[in-house]
Amino acid sequence: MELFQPKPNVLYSLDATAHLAGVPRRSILIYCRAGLVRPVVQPPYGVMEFTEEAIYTVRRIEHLRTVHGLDLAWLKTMFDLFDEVEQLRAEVRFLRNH
Amino acid sequence: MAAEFKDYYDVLGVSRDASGEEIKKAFRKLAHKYHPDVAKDKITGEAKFKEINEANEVLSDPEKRRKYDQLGANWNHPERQPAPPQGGSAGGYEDASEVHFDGTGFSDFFEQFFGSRGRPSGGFGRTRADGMGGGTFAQRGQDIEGDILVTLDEILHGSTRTIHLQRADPRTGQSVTQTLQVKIPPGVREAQLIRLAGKGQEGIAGGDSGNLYLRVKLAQHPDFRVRGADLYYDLDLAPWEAVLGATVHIPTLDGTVSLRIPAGTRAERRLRLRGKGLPTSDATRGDLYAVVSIQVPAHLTPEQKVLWEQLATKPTFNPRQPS
Repeated sequence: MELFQPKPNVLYSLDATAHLAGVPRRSILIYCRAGLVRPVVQPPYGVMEFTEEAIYTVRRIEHLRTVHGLDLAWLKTMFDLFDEVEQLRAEVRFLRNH
Repeated sequence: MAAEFKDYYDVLGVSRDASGEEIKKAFRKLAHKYHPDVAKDKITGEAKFKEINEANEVLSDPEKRRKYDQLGANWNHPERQPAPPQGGSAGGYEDASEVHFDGTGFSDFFEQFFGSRGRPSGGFGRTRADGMGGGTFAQRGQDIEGDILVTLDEILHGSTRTIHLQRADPRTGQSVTQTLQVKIPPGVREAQLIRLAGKGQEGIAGGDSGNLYLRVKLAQHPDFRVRGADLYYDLDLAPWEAVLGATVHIPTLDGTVSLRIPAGTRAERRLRLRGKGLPTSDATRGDLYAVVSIQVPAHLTPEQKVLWEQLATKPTFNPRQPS
């Protein structure tokens, strides 16, 4: 039986992130500039490093762009709204269980 | 794969017109008995708790409850059922919602109608199969996304979970079951992703396989609410305990502890127990907050009534005094 031992909070370099997400480095830099993906560390404080969540987000952006034809501005609006909804949901859940 | 209908009202033992408060009480009562962190019989408790947790997830959320009620009425009439959310599939590709999970803590029924498999997941990134300039494009397999139910005890100590992944082999059409063991590392967070590299759908024309993403969902604990790494415990006090001070016993993830209530404690006051919360990424622990709620007795004996009336005749305290 295969055993998976994911390491929490592991950070990936730009190259590793690009490789794992299956996209060129340039795509990730474009997504960072558009505010869709955020590195945990970035110059001038160190080299760019990304989380597992960032790899997932890059895969999701690629899917939404290539399959559904969404542009970066749309994606930024959509992701911001998703984030807000998730935060509100978490807060409602917390308060509801009071 | 057809999912079996779950009667969530029956699971919690409440009527169909139960109020939110009744649902909350029923959940807490059952969770105290069956929650894996507190149950005496872990195996039976775990199976039962999964059902209770699902029922609470759906019935305590008015939006999900409305959807469930609508679904229930139409369960035997497939043509009138609302369509379940579909995975991020596109024409010609295998649908991730056809993947059946077992061992994640959620039933097929819940996953189909209330899980996160409806979220658009990635998986259509195109990679060159033959290096540079070959002209043929291999296609990377689709990612699969599912939820995994994790208890607070698992966050504290970590655990190893066995997941069964059942899907159709794209070449033969036969159903194939894969068994995977996943270590849940201590300190995971709500909504954190656990990536199982290469366990998504197979790639096409030599492309890499996609990933399997398990998204952590915290099981509702009967005693604690979670905010980040901090836990919140609703501490009920009698009025005299709040006024005069007292020492009470409260549960924590590490066992019961004594907490001194200072005299003159007001409702909603948060008493902090440092380091009794969940583990954080820097190997420290969050805090546990006991949030004071003052309860008044519903019934008084004549003798008690006299004592309260004596208090009322000596009014040195006016809670509505303008400041």
